[in-house]
Amino acid sequence: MKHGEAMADSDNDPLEAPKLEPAAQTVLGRELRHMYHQIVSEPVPDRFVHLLDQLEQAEGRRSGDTDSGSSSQARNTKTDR
Amino acid sequence: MTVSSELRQQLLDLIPSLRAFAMSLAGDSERGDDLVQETLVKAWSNFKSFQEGTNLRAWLFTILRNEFYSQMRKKGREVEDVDGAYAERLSTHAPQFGQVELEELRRLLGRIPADQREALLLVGASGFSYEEAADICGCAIGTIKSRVNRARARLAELLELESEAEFGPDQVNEAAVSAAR
Repeated sequence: MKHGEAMADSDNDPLEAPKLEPAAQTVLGRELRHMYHQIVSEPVPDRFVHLLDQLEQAEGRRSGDTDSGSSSQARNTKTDR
Repeated sequence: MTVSSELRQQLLDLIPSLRAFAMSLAGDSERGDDLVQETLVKAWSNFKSFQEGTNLRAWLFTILRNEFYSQMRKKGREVEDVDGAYAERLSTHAPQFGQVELEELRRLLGRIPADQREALLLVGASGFSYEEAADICGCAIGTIKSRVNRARARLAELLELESEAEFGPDQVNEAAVSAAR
């Protein structure tokens, strides 16, 4: 469990976690949100619109049935993008 | 209940913010989109377990980050691999002007531990409260605060290192190498 160890390490001394100066924090926050904004403002890729279409169609076909098959149905779309 | 066209629309509306989180967490556009895809599929098939009236956005982010960590465990990936893969792509495809900032920040994010990166992205960019982020990550609020502070401090340190040699793609790459030492 390397991952678990890494998480434990970074959680040591929560009270002594270093704090940034407010000015640096502001700049960093702005940079982060700017980075996010660039991604968020991209149009939703077609693959996701198609995926939701397929999920909705699969749901319609098996209404009243369990939905155990819908995820494998959707997973197939992963290969054809 | 059957998953309605209303849910379809809600999921569609949330895809952009899921993508921003996924790409920034994974450090790679393609991997990020694969994470979003898995998230949508899982959300759809587990929608029965979602309590209506609660926060759909937080629920989706929880599914996404769980998927991220489960993939990381399956592949035995180290956090550093994210950065390694990203740095490799940087050297083969010189980024377009204007994209540098985005790519660079994403690459630097890859240099901090995943749990800290996640906390910073949730609180500092996705707009979740500390409490919501703690719910999403399944940990205490104090832990989230600590991770966010550590992530900010480390990123600020890395950004400062980079800015010392920020005159072009070559220098940026050199800075990345020296920062890795």
